[in-house]
Amino acid sequence: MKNPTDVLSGIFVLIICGIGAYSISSLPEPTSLDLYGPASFPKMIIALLAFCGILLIIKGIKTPPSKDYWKNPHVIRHLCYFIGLFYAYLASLTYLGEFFITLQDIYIPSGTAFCITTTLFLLIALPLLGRKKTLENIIVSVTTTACLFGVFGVFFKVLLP
Amino acid sequence: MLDVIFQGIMNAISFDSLLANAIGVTLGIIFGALPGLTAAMGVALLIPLTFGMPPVEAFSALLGMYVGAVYGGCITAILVGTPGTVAAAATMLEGPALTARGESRRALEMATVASFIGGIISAIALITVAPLLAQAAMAFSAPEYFAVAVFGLTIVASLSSGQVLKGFIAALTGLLVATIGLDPVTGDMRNTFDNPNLFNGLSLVPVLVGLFAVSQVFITIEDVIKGVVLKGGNLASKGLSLRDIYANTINLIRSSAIGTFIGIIPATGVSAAAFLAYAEAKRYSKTPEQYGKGCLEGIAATESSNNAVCGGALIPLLTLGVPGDIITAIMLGALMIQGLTPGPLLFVEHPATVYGLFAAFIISNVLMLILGLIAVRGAGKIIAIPGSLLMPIVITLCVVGGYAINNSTFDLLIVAIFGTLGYIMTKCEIPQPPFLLAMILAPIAETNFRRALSISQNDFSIFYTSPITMVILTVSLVILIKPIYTSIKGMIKQ
Repeated sequence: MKNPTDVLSGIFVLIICGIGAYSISSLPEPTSLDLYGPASFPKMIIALLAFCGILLIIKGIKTPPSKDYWKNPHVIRHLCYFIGLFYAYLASLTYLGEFFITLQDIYIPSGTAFCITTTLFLLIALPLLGRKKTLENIIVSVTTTACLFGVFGVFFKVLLP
Repeated sequence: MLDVIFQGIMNAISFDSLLANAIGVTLGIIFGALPGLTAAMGVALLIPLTFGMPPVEAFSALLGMYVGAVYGGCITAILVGTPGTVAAAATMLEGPALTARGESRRALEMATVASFIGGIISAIALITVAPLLAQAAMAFSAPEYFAVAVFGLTIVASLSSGQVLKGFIAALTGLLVATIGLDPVTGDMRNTFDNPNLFNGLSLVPVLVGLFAVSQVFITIEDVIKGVVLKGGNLASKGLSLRDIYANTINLIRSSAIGTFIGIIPATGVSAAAFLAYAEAKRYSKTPEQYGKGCLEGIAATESSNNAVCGGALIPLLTLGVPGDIITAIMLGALMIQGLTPGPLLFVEHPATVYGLFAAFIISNVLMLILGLIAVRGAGKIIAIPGSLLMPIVITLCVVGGYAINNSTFDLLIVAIFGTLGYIMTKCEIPQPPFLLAMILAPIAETNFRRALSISQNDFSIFYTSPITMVILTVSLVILIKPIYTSIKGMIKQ
């Protein structure tokens, strides 16, 4: 195997095809008057996609990669921390927002969950990306959140998450 | 007719539209100038914030962003030798040398004026050619629309940047994702896995924000972790004179014409226009030996042509619904979000909006000239904003943008998933633009294909008895086969 990335990509494509094929298996076949039913287009796509996936696996086995994008584990590890933080930010945003909705007896202004989680996210993300000055990070986090809330929540009247 | 044109112009010059346009151009220049931010990212982030606005106002902001970002790329190309956007790659042939000679301000001002002239010439082409093409396309029915959608899909081959097989995989995955939701004809649920959030299909905006903004943030963060720092450039005091502009008149007009023409041809690419204009400018120059050593003519050629592509690319987008590049593909999605279906009927059903868009495009170019001349003075400082500060802020913007259109937390999940997917796709050298293009064009292709078969009572001859359909499908086939043939030949050789 000369290019594991391509081989894994090909396998992933085949898995997608499998899921797609399973999903459309319950769709009705076209009637005798119609050549084309609801499953026809997805079936055609899945067949072509599977073919391309197999070609990619063969290509991965035979051809070496033009560049090795995964060779810097330090960078990948740090990036994974950031991606993890991003997912945690979205999850906390969703759950805190839903929690505030359940507190019907207490008045909580719209956008509170957004302001709290965004400030926290920025407070953690900035040092994670190498910004060491704590006071500067606090100022940036609070100011950015306030600006986002002011511009989108107040000025553009966009409903914030 | 005149009252419709007048109404369109009035919409474009209203205070709100002008403000939206100015904000779009300003943000566009910043997005274009900063290497971590892209024009596609800017337009994708702006769509959810503009969808509540009237169409002309919304497109004033989007066109402003488009024009501003294509221009803004030249700032970093000239000052620090790193193109802010792909469009500015050719500008690097002359820009850094001019900066080294202490003529950075002169080069930036020439780039600004050239971009303005390119934009205006392409706007003239847009205003004159688009209505004529739309009128010619009025005879289109379901088979022709299907053929045009297929033609749009063949652009995948050229958007794949040398990775044809992976481009097809991305496009086919986009087609498969587009089938999620209700079947457009029978109403059956397809690929929804009984999840109510998927019954109406995946919303385009969160996918866009994820694929083009979040993934780009992840890629830029890699550079931040690696410690790649872009230093601000120095701005010299020597500015551009009227004599410089006068000396380049023919060059500017020729390069703008090249850019406009290249823009009209889908998927030829903005950088191709800039390199072609550069080559032509050198060929006709009295001092070709100066090229590559810091020649102002080169800047005039590349910058006028790359901004001229903007107006050119809008012609097939508005008249046929065929996007020329990734930004116009995102614009196609934006038009649909606004309830406007690009194509000849757009000119019949919403003429005031169309003329409003034309006027907004001209205004974007005028604002780009004014704001660009101001921006060049602070350009050195703009590009020195560290990525470690900028990227976390941009990702919070992605969250706001991804949520804003449907107010759904499910969309936030889509943003995160497609952001990660977009990053992995980049790492695996799988291009993202074909995915998006296929996702947008799939419903048009499928619906019109089935409609055509229904009209002909399942007779496939409907696709080759109409001359227009046959010509478009044949051209599509040729476009599709050529890169496949080249790719297979390359694989066999290897």
